[in-house]
Amino acid sequence: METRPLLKHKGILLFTTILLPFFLLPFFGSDTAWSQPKIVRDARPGDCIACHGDGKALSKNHPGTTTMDLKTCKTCHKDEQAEGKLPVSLAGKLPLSHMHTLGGTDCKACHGEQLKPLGADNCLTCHEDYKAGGNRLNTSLPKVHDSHMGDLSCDLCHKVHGKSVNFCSQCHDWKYKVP
Amino acid sequence: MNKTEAKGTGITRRKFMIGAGATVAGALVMNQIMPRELKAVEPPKKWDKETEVLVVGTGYAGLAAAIEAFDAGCKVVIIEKNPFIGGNSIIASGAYNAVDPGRQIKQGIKDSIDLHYKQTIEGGDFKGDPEKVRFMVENALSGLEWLEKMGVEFEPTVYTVIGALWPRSHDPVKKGRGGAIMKALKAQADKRKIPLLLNNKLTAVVREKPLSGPVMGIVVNEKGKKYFFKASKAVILATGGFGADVAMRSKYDPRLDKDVPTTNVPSATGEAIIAAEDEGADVTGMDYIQLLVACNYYTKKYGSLTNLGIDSAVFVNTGGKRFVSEDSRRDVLAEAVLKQPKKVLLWVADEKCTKRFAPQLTEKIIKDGLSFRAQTLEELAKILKEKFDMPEAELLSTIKKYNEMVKNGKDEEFGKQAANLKTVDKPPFYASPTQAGVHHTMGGIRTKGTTCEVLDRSVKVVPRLYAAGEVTSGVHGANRLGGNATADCIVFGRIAGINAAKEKSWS
Repeated sequence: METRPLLKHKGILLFTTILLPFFLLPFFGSDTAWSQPKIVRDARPGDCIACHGDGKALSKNHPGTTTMDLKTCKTCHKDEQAEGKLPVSLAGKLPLSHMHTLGGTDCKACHGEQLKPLGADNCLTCHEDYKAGGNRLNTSLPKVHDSHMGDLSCDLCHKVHGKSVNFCSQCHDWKYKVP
Repeated sequence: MNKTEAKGTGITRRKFMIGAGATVAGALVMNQIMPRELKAVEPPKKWDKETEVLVVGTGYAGLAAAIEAFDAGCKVVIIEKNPFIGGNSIIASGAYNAVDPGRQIKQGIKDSIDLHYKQTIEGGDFKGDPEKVRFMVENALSGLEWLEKMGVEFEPTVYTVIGALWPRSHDPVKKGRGGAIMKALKAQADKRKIPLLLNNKLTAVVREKPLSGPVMGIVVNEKGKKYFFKASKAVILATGGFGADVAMRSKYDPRLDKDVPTTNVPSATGEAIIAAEDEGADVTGMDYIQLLVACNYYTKKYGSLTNLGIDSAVFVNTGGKRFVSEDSRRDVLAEAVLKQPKKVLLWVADEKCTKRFAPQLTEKIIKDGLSFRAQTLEELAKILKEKFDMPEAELLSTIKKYNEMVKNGKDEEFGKQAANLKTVDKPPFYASPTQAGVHHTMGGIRTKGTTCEVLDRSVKVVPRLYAAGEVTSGVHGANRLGGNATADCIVFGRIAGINAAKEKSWS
């Protein structure tokens, strides 16, 4: 019986060579502040442009940030700022790793000299009092850190090296800004 | 195929790499479309982990089973597929039905084990297993008292949670709901140092031989890595139902497609039922799927001012008219709502009803415009006129008529029972637009009598495999009474743990 070689099948070739890259584009190809930047290891924490390039991480009219630290950022980006008004809080705008480095806690402070991977349990080393915090920005919402879900792993919401997510929003229509 | 044809494939390195890429991408896509490709698995030469009793799932039933098995002297490990515990239990209302003379007599409520049995059997259209139902209602109070020993505090009074049919529902205090029960059970598991492995998902049940012999353990997927987990005494499946799995639920009830909301956690997807079936377990009642009027009209999520109790509440349609008795069975309520304009009911209640709801959540829901509050019925009628074009006079007339019937002690329109009749007259007044969502799957793995042992298709026990809670079938028949699931999970979860512990270990 004559069989047709798999890779000679025009449909598969069409899919792999032309359509597949488009299919995968949303996963790898998006060009936003959250997409993987080039990593400049000796850049200052406030030097957004060094890694992200111009016009991606910061708006056009944003003042230069190279010498800024977290305290300086917060002179405009106040945590207490009402939702919807500019300039807004940095909560949810920067990965927590950036917030940490801007605040003076560098990678080695958590990961050690060897830059070892860490679990979320390590957050409690510094943030033992986390239950007292939570939803500073919208006090009308329930205290998320004392919810019916009990003790949850920090990284269900707070992504140190990515965009944080709102775990509660799977069921509740609550709009938290998750730092 | 001859040699020439083999050469004729013309595979170059480039084409091979493209093909390999396509295969990997295809596998990724298929993995999303068909996440549960399960099949019978042979026992491994070497098991990666080992315990005596292995509990799968961390809801009410799973933790109750684990605690009982531990207290019977076993080594126990619990696994959970989510990165958090509790499944549906931790988001549930926590209402627990039990005939409880200690509380009910003080409230002047007449009740009996026989009445609870009768209502459960009749409420399930006689499709429940009488032996299981009798066992549950007889042991519900001891289950409640066991929870109290575990540290759960219940309110001193009982009420009728929606679809419970009778005032015998117990709520954890301080609006703690299901989360309060879960926190207490988790604390007890922690106190016993029972290992609880998050992100560990059952992918297959392992028997001595495919489809025969005792269950020896399971295959677990931990963040993409599969391993074999030996259970020398037994495996207990307490993995919940499949209300959030659109493909699975619509297989059994085609109406329940993706447009129908659910009150369940997104992970209520029933893989363990299929894994058990793959090793011969029988299932029954899979098309008995309950909808609950508990989803908000606007968000389609659980979050209306629901589960407030139905005594001082009136359900009206957008025409301002009652259309069903508020204390009806859940399936009756759901079917009735589905026939109304916009498939919505307005849950009109007074201040008495909202006492069972956390004040801050009430405020939040009102503020977000998901439910409405007014100081007078007239004001509430105006709001509903604006939102749903409900005739104001019709609503006011309906409430007035209802209150008159309450005073006369008889609902002449829809037959709401006297025990559930309270006036709607104490401000502030609330209206909550509510729709039906998939809530509970009454069908599931078939178990033997009241032992929690899993049965196969030849009605033989699958040795060393137990199941309890929503993953099983037979307790609730075609329709579950509100508040009976908590009792089911605790009563049978405990039994599963106790019986699994009695098995002799193999080595």
